[in-house]
Amino acid sequence: MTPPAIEVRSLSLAVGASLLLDQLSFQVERGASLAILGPNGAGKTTLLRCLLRIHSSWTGEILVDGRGLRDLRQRQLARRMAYVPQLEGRRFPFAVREFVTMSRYPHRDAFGGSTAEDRRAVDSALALAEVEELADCPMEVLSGGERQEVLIAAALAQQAEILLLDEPTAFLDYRHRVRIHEILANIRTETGATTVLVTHDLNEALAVATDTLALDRGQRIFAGPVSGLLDPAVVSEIFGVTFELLQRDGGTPLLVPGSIVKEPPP
Amino acid sequence: MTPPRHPVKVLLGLGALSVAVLSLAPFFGGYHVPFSVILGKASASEAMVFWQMRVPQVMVAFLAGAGLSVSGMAFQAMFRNPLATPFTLGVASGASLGAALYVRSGLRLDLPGIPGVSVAAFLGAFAAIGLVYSLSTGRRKLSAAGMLLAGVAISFCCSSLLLFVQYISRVGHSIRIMHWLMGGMHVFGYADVFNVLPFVTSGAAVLFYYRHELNLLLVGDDIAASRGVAVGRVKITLFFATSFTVAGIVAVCGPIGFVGMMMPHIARLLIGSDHRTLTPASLLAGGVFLVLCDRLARTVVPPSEVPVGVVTSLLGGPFFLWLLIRRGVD
Repeated sequence: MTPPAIEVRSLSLAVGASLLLDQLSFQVERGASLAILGPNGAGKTTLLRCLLRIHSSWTGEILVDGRGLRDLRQRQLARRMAYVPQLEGRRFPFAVREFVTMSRYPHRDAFGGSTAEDRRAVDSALALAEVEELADCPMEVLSGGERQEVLIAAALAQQAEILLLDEPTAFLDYRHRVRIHEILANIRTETGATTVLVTHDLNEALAVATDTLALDRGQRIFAGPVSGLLDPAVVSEIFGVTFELLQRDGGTPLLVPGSIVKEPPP
Repeated sequence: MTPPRHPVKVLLGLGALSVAVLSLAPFFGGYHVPFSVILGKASASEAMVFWQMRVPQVMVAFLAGAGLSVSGMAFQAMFRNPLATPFTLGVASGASLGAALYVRSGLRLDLPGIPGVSVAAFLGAFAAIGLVYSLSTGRRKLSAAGMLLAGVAISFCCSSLLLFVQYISRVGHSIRIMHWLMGGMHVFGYADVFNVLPFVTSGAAVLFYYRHELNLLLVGDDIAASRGVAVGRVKITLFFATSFTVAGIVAVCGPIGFVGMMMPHIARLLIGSDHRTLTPASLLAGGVFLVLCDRLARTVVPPSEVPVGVVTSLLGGPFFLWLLIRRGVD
């Protein structure tokens, strides 16, 4: 039996006096698409940063492909897991192809140049993220949506089986949101990658995910298949807001927020 | 800013410029030495000035400029901040304080091949960067901007302590410290060339080895980590290498300002931000710049020599302001 892509057991992370993650356990099956939901400050990004070993002072157990995260070297981890960060506040003083080629880092050594395999990986990543025509543009001239697509291409060039995405559609217009949802669907069908996506948006989770994990103040408050979100009582509990479920003919249902049901305790 | 089309051509151009500057600069200074000195047809005093003063001065200036420039380049990438330099991070001031304390104390710390003043400068530089770095990883993590501010604060503390050390020193020590503080290169013979050379070459080699990592750190620590860079270990290595280089330079030449800030920016404008080509470009541009400043410092008011630090700061101050204004408009 193959181990799950990611398995997390009793993960806790404290920074100073505040507990950012509290006894968190979940697993992501190979090929699944997990949406991590929750209000601001729930610990979603912190969880991704633990998985990437940007945070290292956590306790508990994290297994990637059945291997302990602490037993992997950073390069070995990067060959298994790629990451699409939040866009905000970054400068990218590189051309698109240059930036995407930089993702081949875990596959090369310090003295080697680009190999034919590197070029193939970069080309297919650019194609899959539908940004081939931008390959020679400087990143600085791209729109936010185009830049997000290039970040996805860069993560794909790493050829990892697991793809982590931190709010990939935040601040994007509807057209780029839909495009990114399409790209994510294509990635799953063409590469069979496991995707883990952090989002605020319930309808995005319904559109792209198979499973969901909801966090609040570092604790797991819901986990299960994405269809579990179709119960307004469950989603009210997650976000502290009432929701109305709108069924649509031939489409995924929509959840529409109503009013605040409770003030989160201080 | 469009990325330049032919980084290799830019590098070749900078290489040719470096060769030209290195071979012509020794003929200029307080007075012109005839070119015939090469053929041994000049007077003995001219030959002495040329071979024992001018040539080693030019070599030290080139090495110091190259080392400061490439260190600034690394700091700017790691902090993702155009104002990060060996000075704003306290490294140069720490090195200066270490060296001044050494001169004042009269201790001997010489290691085989490394003069004691360089050892003291290195201890000072590493104490300063260690303090800045530990602030960034302690319980209250500092942002890159916070680290810069901490570096500036440490830099000011070191400068004040330095003035204090100078004030309480005997006149002889005091003048020696002051001369050296103004960033003058009082080079005679080749000993100083060999005192600077290993620091600059080893530092530059480490930075070039980490060129891919520098590219990734430039777009973010999280991106670098996710691409497989062991961020903590790489940063510590880079801090160590740059402190080593800066300390070796400061011990011989004094704290020469602004080279480490200006030249990486100018190299970046010429060749783009890819550290595979930016590293050699920063080295060459920094070297050429400091040789020219040094020659200028020795020619403007002959026969006295203005400390080269005065020249670089006079050019660097306005450049700093221009950079701030340009960034503000961006």
